[in-house]
Amino acid sequence: MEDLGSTRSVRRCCSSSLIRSLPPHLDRLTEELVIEVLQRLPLKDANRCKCVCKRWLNSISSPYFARCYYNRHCFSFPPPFALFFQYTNTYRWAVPVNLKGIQSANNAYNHPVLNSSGFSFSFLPPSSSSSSSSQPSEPVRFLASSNGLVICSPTILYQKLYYVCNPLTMHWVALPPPPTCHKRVRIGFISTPDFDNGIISRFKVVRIPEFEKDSRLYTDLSLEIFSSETGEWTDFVISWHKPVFGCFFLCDSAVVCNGMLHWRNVYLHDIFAYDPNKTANYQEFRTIPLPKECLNGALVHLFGESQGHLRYAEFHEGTFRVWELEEYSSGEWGLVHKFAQSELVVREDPNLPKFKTRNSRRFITMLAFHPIEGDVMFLDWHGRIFECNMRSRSLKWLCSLAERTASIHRTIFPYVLPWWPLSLPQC
Amino acid sequence: MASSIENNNEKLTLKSSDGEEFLVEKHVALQSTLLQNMLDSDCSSADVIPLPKIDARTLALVLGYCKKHADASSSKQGELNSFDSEFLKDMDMGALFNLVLAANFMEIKGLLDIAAQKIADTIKDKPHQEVREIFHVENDYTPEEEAAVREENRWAFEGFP
Repeated sequence: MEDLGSTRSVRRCCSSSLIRSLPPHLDRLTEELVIEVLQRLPLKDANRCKCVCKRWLNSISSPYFARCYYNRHCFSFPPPFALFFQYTNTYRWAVPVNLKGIQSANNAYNHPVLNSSGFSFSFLPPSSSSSSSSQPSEPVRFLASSNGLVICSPTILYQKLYYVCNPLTMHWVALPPPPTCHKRVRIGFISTPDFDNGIISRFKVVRIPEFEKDSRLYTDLSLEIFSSETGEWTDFVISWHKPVFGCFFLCDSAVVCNGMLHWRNVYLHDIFAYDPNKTANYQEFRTIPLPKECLNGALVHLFGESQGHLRYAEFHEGTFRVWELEEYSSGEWGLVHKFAQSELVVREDPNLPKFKTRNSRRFITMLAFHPIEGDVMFLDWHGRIFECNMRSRSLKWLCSLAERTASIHRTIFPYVLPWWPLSLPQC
Repeated sequence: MASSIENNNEKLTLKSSDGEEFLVEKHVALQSTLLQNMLDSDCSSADVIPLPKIDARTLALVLGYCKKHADASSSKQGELNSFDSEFLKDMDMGALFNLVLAANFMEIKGLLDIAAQKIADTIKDKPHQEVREIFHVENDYTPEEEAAVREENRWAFEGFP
């Protein structure tokens, strides 16, 4: 028998360009195969295809599609990530209307899945609190984020109004007003993702109002918690047998890790961890001491999260030290990076030889840990944002701020988006 | 001993929807999970296996792909990758759709993957009206409905008029 098939097929494939398409009615793909194609598109392209026809709208909006999309891309690419920072000085009351409140740096824009030109909160309703004509409305303030959702408020002081939104899809909900109004509150925001169904199954917002007096510690801690499941704010009080609570949290927004909210307690040299999804008393909070070796006197420090672990860093006398909480349950920290500022090599910015000099030290601020790449953190030096690779000891310039603010480190947020946007729960 | 050598050279006959027969070496056919399952389940290789959904032109392409992938040693991934992109280069949408249908039916994962990706790469950055034409999909929206879906997803239409 002659081997016709194989030789023939090889010849055919070489002349594939000559093959003409079949009449349209024959080459239609089944719904399953349409999904097979659409899940390979970048995010925006796939979502634009919702406008092709109703069947495609249903397919692309289905939990099945979200699951396929997530499973296809999560192994190929890290999730889109941006560094958000707010230009305006936190405490300045009036800002020019045209000043954008938010800018972001890093790779989210040209991420293979996302491809975006940037985010802003301009889709949210204009603030009505400053309605008098002499005072222009403030840009909305980014407070915290979780799984691509952002909680923001039109004001930093006397927060009354909160929005939970997705800056990518521009979908948002307004929360009912919280039960009390205080000059300052700490905010914790945590959401529970359901990647299989492409939704956020629930979120919680925790407000810790300021204490009456800064100078003393209390045995009780009052909390106000909003749950998307009840759509209401509820008051809670945590009590402890000795006074440990006070107006001590340096950072306004909690660091989310391990399903818990974490605030760094400056005076007590530890971390306050709180689980808003548990309500039984005492079980829901704990304190985690900072690494034993870290210095009380270090003026530049950073507390955050990277790759699912809490991290703490300090910069003191020209040396960076970074610890990671290796054992969450036992509170065991490990030193993961230690290097001198003089070791850092600047790439891609000819203006930076001065970075190594002694005088530059006091202008360095640690901004954030890279949430996905454990070797990377972000530094601010004279209004320039750098990506610092702690393993290769190299600095890469990312962008320069249009406006210097004294408290930039308090207005900068690492922001990670899921591969497929998760829709907001109804409140 | 002799029989195992014979087994390696075993061939089977595939029949396309338009009646053309293809003689295929067994190790080439094994690229298809469908054929593999048929062979495993005691299907005699003397029989002609009909593939009623796949025409001769598409089947020839599919078998060309299978032969290359069956013959290449696993160490030559780079060579296979360039073969794959060359294989799909200049192929029109109709041929690609037929390949996706055939690869899906014959369960050839690698081929389904590259053909579906090629279609996705082609429709990427195209307005949805054009995608509609490429896929021969009838627009069942009223203009108001379409505008509403677009408004709901306006973030995805950045840069599209």
